[in-house]
Amino acid sequence: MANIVRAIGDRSIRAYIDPERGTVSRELYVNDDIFAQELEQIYQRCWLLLGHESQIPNPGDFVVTRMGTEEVLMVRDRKDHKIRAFLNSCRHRGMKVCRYDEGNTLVFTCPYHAWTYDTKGKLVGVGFGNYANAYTDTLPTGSEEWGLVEVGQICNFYGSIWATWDPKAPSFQDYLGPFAESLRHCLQSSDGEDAGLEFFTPFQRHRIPTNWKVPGFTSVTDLTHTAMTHRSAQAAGLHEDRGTGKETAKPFPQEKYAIGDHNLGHGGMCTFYDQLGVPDYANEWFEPGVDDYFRAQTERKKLLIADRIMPPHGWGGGHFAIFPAVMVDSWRIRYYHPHETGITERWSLFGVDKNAPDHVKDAVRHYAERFNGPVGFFESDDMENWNYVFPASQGATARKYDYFYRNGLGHGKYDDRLPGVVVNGSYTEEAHRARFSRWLAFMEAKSWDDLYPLNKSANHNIWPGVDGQASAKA
Amino acid sequence: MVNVGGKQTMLEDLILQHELEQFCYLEARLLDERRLTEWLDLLSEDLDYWMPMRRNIKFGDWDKEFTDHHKEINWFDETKDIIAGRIRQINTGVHWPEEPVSRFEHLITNIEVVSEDADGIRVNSKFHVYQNRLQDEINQWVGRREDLLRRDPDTKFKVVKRKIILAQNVMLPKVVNTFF
Amino acid sequence: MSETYNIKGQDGIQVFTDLPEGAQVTLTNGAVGTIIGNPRDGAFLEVTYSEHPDSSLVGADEFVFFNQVESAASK
Repeated sequence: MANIVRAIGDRSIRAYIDPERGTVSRELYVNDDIFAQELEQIYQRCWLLLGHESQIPNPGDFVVTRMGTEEVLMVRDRKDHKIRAFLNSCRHRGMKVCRYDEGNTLVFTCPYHAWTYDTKGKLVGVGFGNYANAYTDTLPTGSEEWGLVEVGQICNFYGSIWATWDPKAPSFQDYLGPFAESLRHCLQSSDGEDAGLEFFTPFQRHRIPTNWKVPGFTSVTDLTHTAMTHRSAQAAGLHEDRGTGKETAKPFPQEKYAIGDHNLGHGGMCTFYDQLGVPDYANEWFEPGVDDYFRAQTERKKLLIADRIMPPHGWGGGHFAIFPAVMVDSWRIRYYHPHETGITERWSLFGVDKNAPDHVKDAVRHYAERFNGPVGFFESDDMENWNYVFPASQGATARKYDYFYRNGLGHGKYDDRLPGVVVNGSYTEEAHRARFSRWLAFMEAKSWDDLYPLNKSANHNIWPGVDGQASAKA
Repeated sequence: MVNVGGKQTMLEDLILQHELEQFCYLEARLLDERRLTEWLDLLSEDLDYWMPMRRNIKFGDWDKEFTDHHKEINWFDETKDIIAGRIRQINTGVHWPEEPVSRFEHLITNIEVVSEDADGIRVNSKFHVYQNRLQDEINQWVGRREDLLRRDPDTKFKVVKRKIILAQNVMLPKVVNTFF
Repeated sequence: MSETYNIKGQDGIQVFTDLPEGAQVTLTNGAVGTIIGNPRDGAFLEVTYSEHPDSSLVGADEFVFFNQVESAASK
């Protein structure tokens, strides 16, 4: 049995990542003690995605979402119309105060003893008559103390809603660092309007019997898996069902990289354009009229961005991973919720220009439905690999043998266009290593004081060889 | 027994019921015997194959339960072309969640003829789909179907519309790699 | 003409759950209020008090539990 970190600040966890050899212990993925620590050290602190404001447009609207293993209510208050988020657990005995997926409500009423909370989370009623009758004099009417547990901070980032339990976490903008512009870009409509997307309802939610880091860390920005994992979709001609690649637009001078931010843990596949403006639109869709719409949108975006270089963004169906387990590209937001060491739930939201005509929305929706998730052409293949990674890594023998995370080790370099971020080839595991750098920092940190500002973090970029800087510390 | 046309004899109703049952059982057998391209031939060219997601709703909020066929994200919202693509994918032999191939058993029951009119015959049924694969992986889907079938000279009937009402909220099996 | 809602009968739970905004309720403590919100949870009503034994609560809004509600009638 592995020697697992037992206390906050215990640095024995460092034994499970070997930066010099470029390896990571399987214990990270299969060990129940490490999983329990992650819920404290990572999920209690990080900014996590709740959903999108377009899911709750009206006063009193709510949707049940998650932060890690726990359910959270994302609510638009019926009076001040602000979005707040609360743990879905009654303060009296811990029962779920809401068991609907979404809706519009005045209050959340616990079905156990009828403790009832308004859309600001305030306790506004209890069962069995008034407070004094029911709870002697121990619970004052309208007690502020016993409201629903509210998140520490919440942020509306161009329509996407994020929260952290930790009031000491840096702002979401700072948490994103150089990725803020890229995420902003992902949330723009195709003509470049900020917060120009709406997201189809509801969440696509499904279980994957594996550790959350398998898809969350390992399978985002994983270019070497596509040819084999998705062999069947390509062999069956399904990669052309959106018409991809039928016409090649005149390409911009560009560089494509796998990138990893070892300080913040984010990573992705990144295109840097070396030319001002926006490249010509290339046909992608077989449904009539859809390419016409996107071409016109691109022409509008060209006017908007004529005199500057587009922010770095994903390529090749590529995506940015926001630590710990969110994956964003220009039309999808997907995130992985741990349930148990070997059970993960994935939630997806699919975006479309909010002002797009119906035939465009239909095409985008149909593509989302048939491409993604447990029913998706492409992703059903991912599920099988993600699933059986877990039992085949769990055994007493298997867990003694590390995973290979060496691809590109020693070949990374910093790039001024994304300060502090390592760029490294196109098929490397740089983005994965960045997540493990940050993972280690979180697992060792006593609090956010050890994690931000970044120069106080002793262990960012633990992997050697970036610009010759071996910064691994014992 | 419903006299579906309002003008048929009891015997004609019994024959129709029998033919529809045989059709449903044939579908199930073709799927279980991995004869997917033969099953595909039982679908009409203008197929509308729909499996909505289902929400947890308040008693009485019935109109909020299913995702909107044309505005929201559904599990399946397919034409015949798309299903043909799925079958091509399974038949590549390198579609990993179906390689090695699964052992599927489609149990079809409660076959109920609702009505027949110019559009076709409306038939309801229930399914219990059991999947057993590799050593110990088991997945199950239970639900019901609301079909519109059309009479066909070659295959007796073709499926024109199928609404698949699955008794699940979060999709619990990791992959849905069969048809209903 | 005021209509009395039968909130104590066999179908009382449905009647209570459907009580409309604007209806008047009389509470077991003698308070009288107007419904300003019904969360349709079968448990609570949001009322504004027009009469209350504690006169400081007249004009205040409160969520009242079903077993505090003695009767309900339309305005």
